[in-house]
This record gives sequence, structure tokens and C-alpha cells, in this order.
Amino acid sequence: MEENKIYIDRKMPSKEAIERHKDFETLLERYEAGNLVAKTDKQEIHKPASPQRWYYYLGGVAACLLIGLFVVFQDTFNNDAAPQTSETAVSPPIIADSSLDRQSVAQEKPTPIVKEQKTDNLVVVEDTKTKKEKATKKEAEKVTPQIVATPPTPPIVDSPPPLSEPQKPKGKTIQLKLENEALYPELKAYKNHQWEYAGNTDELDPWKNNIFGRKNHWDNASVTKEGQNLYTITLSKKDGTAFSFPARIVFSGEAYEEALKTYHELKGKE
Amino acid sequence: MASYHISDSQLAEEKKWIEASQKDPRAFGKLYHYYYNRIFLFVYKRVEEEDEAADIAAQTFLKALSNIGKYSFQGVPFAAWLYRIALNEVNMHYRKAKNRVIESIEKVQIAEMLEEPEALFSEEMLGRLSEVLKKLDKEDMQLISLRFFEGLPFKEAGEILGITENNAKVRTYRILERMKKQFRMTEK
Repeated sequence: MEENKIYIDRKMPSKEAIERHKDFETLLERYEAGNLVAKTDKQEIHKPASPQRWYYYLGGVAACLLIGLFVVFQDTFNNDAAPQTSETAVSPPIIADSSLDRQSVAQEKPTPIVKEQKTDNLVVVEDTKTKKEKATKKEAEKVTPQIVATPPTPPIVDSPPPLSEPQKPKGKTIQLKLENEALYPELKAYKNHQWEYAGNTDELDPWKNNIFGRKNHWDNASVTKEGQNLYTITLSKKDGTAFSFPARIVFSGEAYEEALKTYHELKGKE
Repeated sequence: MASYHISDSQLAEEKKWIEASQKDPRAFGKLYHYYYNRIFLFVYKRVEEEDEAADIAAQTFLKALSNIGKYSFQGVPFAAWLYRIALNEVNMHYRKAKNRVIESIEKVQIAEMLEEPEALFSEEMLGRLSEVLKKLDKEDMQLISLRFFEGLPFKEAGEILGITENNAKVRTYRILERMKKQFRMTEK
């Protein structure tokens, strides 16, 4: 058992020194920010969080139309008297669904081996035909490899994503409770994380825009993973007003020490 | 000695501040400014660094503000609730060292505790008493600390630690007896 530590007649901080730590406005800001509860259900994640998300959906819809047209007119293409050129007319450049993609590739060209690499929201389909074949079909080569965008999916993957090394905050932090942390397995190992603005422009800076001011009440918040320790936090009101900003996860004080320890332990196991 | 460290009129004033804070978080500013220095020093005496004390004090007030809606005024000083939150925060801060606490004590407080004139306390005696205090259980140390080093009445110390006034008195008496016994044993 460790002994207690006793200081006798220890010098206490001066009144001025204590006053320097007093900051009621920051306390109120932290309180306002802490009142926000992120709703990150599966369905919420599928909901478009920012205008950019619409491009994914539009791309997906356009791709579906193209596939539909291709399937409908497939017989017509096959009956054309130009079998050599039909090989160059490979799958359309944008395909919304990876299963449909495989199907279309198989229908067009029975022999090529298609290799898929999955990332968070992207499926990279790479044609692995021999160089000789590729050299004779430069047109086909121009359209491969294809990056096929799929609608945003929840970041649940078979194996947990790599852990980011814990970082200390550089500025003000936000406490945002995630209702469903299971959707973010990379956070599972860590406790007591906070969020910090990760952008470099004042326009997106929630503090510079007084987003957490007392008069600003937000009804909803959602968190979307964008990359390694990079997320988009979107705050919204019932009247449709929304504010999105990039954020990263940081740890303060003892939480940082614990997170760092966890990080090194898990890294050591890898 | 009064049951609490503040008067009835002060208690009534506090009640108004609490009710206002429950309606508008900004009104919590009065309680914050009134109690900040006291809570900061309370925490500082139990940690190593000034910055640690500032972090824990901030967290204490944040928790108080977040839960003020659930606070029910029952004639107990608001400080008792703040002390309890602060003590929990300090315990959480040092949760790795389960049985270890930090205390900052003034010589005069030790003399009062042992009912001895301060002038009679030599450095050697202080050293011996410090050794006795180092070996106190966490709970015992917290009770002694609140009663003698914070100067709180038994009732308020009991409120903070979640025990009755009578229990606080009995326990304090036993701890002091034990301490005095150990103090005499260390005499060369």
C-alpha cells in the first residue's frame, strides 16, 4: 500500500493566480457543447450529412440508369457485327453497386479476373488482365482501374481500423457523447475522448463562428468518419439550419496518458 | 458551533441562486464566482500541481452545472454538494493509487486537531505526526481533513462523505484516538 503524501505549511496559490483560472464563459461553452448528444444510429449515418453527400447519390442514380440501359440493350450490343470492339466497351465508368459491377463485368467479358479492394465508402475495382492483353486494348485500359463510389455505409468493418496515436488538444475542445459508439470501432479502445476543430480556416471554425454560444441551441448532431482520426461533425436545428466542421479526437490530462498507454499496448500486440 | 459554516440568511440567498440557475445556466455564475476560490484551494490541497487543480475545479463546476436541474435544496449549504463532487473528481484523478491521498496541512491546524498549543510542536513532532497521517486510510484521512483542515462542522463533513453527523463524530473520535496512540508509539 502506498503512503499518503502530506504537505505541511505548503505555499498556496495567490488569489490572483486562482483568479487566472476562473473562466465562467468557457464553463458555459463547455456546458452548451456537452448538452449536444450525437445521434449516430445506422440510419442517421445513411442520412446525407453535408451537401457533398448528394454527389454520391446522384452518381449512384446515374450509374444505375446506365447499368439498366446496358442490360436492356445488351442483346443489341452482342448482335452487332463487331466482336473485337465490343471488348473495348467495358463496364460503364461509374457503377453504384459492387455486386452489379461484378455482374456487368462478367456478362461482358467472361475471362478477366476482377479484384476488389474495399475502403470505407469506396470500392476500388481493378482489372488484373495480363499486360499483353492490356497492350492490345488501350481503350479498355483507359477505363480501368475504376473507382466506384457507393452510397455512404456505416463504418463497420470486419477487422477494426488502425488506431490513431492519441493526440493532445491544441485549442478548445468539445465534449460530444456518441449514442452508438459501436459504429466507431477505432474509438472502442479509448476512453474519455474529446473533439477538437481540425480545419485550418476561420469559416469552418465553430469557435470563431460562435457556434457554441449560449444563444445557439442545436437540436441534433451527427458524426461522420472521413479518414484516419478525421471526422465531420454536423450540427443542425429543427428549422433546417446546419453547421458542419472537420474535427479530430483528442485527449486531455489523464485521459491522454491512458489513451497513449492503450495505444502502445495494442500496437505492441500487432 | 452552528450546524453549518454559513448563516441562515446566506442559505436563503443560496437557495435563490440555485433556483435561478435551474432556470438559466447563466445565473450559475453567482454560485461559480462565490465558490470558485474555495473549491480551487480545496482541490489544490489534494493534488500536486496548480494546473491539475484548475482542471479538476473546472470539471467540478461543469458537473455541478450539468446536474443543477436535479439538485434539490434541503437546507444544506451548496458548498457541501460542490465539495462532494470535487472530492469524487480528486478520487477519480488518483484512482490508480487507490489508497493514496495528498493533503496539505498547516501547522496550526495540526495543533488544533491534537488540542495542543502550536508553540509546543517541534519539527521532530511534526515529522512524527506526518508519518502517522501518511498511514491513515483514505476514508479516515478525508474525514479528518474535512473536519480539521477545512474546518467544517461534523454535520457538513458528514453530508459530503454521505454519513450522519453522529457517525462523523464517532469516527473522528476513534481516528484521533488511534492517531494519538501511534503518535506516542513513535516517540523516541
